[in-house]
Amino acid sequence: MAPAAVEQMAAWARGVRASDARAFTALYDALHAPLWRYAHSIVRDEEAGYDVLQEAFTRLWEMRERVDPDRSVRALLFTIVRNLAYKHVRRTRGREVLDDRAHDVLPALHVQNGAAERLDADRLETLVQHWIDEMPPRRRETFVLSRVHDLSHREVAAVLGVSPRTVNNHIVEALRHLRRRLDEYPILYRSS
Amino acid sequence: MNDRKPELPPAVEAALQELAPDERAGLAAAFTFVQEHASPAPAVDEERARKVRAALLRHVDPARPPERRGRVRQREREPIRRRARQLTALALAAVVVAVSVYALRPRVVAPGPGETARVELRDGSTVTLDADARLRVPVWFGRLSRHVSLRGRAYFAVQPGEQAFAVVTANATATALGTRFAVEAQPERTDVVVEEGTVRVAARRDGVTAVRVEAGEASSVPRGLAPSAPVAADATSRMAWRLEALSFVNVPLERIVRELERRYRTEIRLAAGERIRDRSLTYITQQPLPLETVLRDLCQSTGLHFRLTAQGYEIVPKAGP
Repeated sequence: MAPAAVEQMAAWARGVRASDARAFTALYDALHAPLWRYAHSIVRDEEAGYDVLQEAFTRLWEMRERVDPDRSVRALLFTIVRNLAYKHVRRTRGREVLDDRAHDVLPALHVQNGAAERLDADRLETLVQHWIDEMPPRRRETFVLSRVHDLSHREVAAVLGVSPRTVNNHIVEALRHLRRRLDEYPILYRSS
Repeated sequence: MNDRKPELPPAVEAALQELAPDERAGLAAAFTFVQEHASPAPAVDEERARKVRAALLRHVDPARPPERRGRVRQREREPIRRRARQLTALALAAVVVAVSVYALRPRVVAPGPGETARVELRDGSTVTLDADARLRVPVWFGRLSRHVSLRGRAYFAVQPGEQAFAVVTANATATALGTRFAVEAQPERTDVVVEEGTVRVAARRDGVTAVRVEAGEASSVPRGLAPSAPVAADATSRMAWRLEALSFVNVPLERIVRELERRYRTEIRLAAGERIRDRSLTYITQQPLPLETVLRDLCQSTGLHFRLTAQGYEIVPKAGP
């Protein structure tokens, strides 16, 4: 994030702390899309995603006096969304589905992949998603968070409650895993 | 993406900084590939997001006092002539009836073709509806009783509660306290599969001959008959549709095709010999795939061939060489 954007976030955080509704809505306008996508990636349900989003900002407002403008309010929001989303998943699906969903079903692709097979975009998506899903849960989560949501590695670390060092290791290991998978499928990987 | 080197997200950039340059380049390429080919993140519905924003604004309005406790002061009654008063009462009664009919109508949830829907009920229980299913929830659900009616296939995760949770179908009633189970309500029969806890299953007309279905068991209630004795059932595979994936383990082709018809709301004619129709196949996908992809896979492994027809699809033996 550019320094100006960091400063803007901090300004909004100070505003929220001072019960400024305009700073609060500005924060919503700036972050609702990535936060909803993040919630959606966990709850996998559109409507539940909006519920989590609304609840997260409600919580932020309720705890506004405790918001520390020196720390990333964005990481704070992602943390709240994460907690609420997992709470939702636990309540509706049970823990086991959350972590092991990906590991007991292989995509149809693996049943019959042949070099001659043409991979269309849909199946390629399935395959790539499978590679992501087969990572250990914490690594997958770190990777997903760092990939789609434009957070710094310090922010990712804050959201997941681990050290930046651990975040780095997870990301590197995730990329090594993906690189190995790509090398196993030479037909997919045509680097120009 | 033009010719510019694609930019890496800050966290990935930071992680790669410590690696040797050639490994860094390889991993960055892997990242870019995944970024370009992974399923795109869904787009936020801005209309819906504005509603959330409006709801939040109502919540944060600093001018709003913490709680509104004031009581509306009663207006002094003006003298009204008797006739007018009667008419007003009548009109009022009509409005009350209309409003209650409107307010008391059950909530109906029915996902469209090829979709599933998840509903959270007032007591915190959740229902996942398969395509074509239809769930009716009375307005007094969770207050007077916990009864819902179902047509089609649904999965229930029931919160424990004092009132029994009952799923009523055309011919059967499945009653539970706190548990997870699936109900498939077809016109000719109702199937109940229990994943966790115990469910009491009874025919609707004859509630006496009920059976208790335990976790990992299933019972079936044919129309006009009593429920079958519970038999062991693989709850996981029978509920796999809930994850919107296809999961067939040793299922005859004929049955796979019928399920695909139901799932994709189309007609599929299977013009093949009995030997092929009865051939058991295993086909598992991790997420929903387009029907044609599924048909192509099935045909490839059975030596068949499919084509589009006016009604839907047709699966036929491959023309001989």
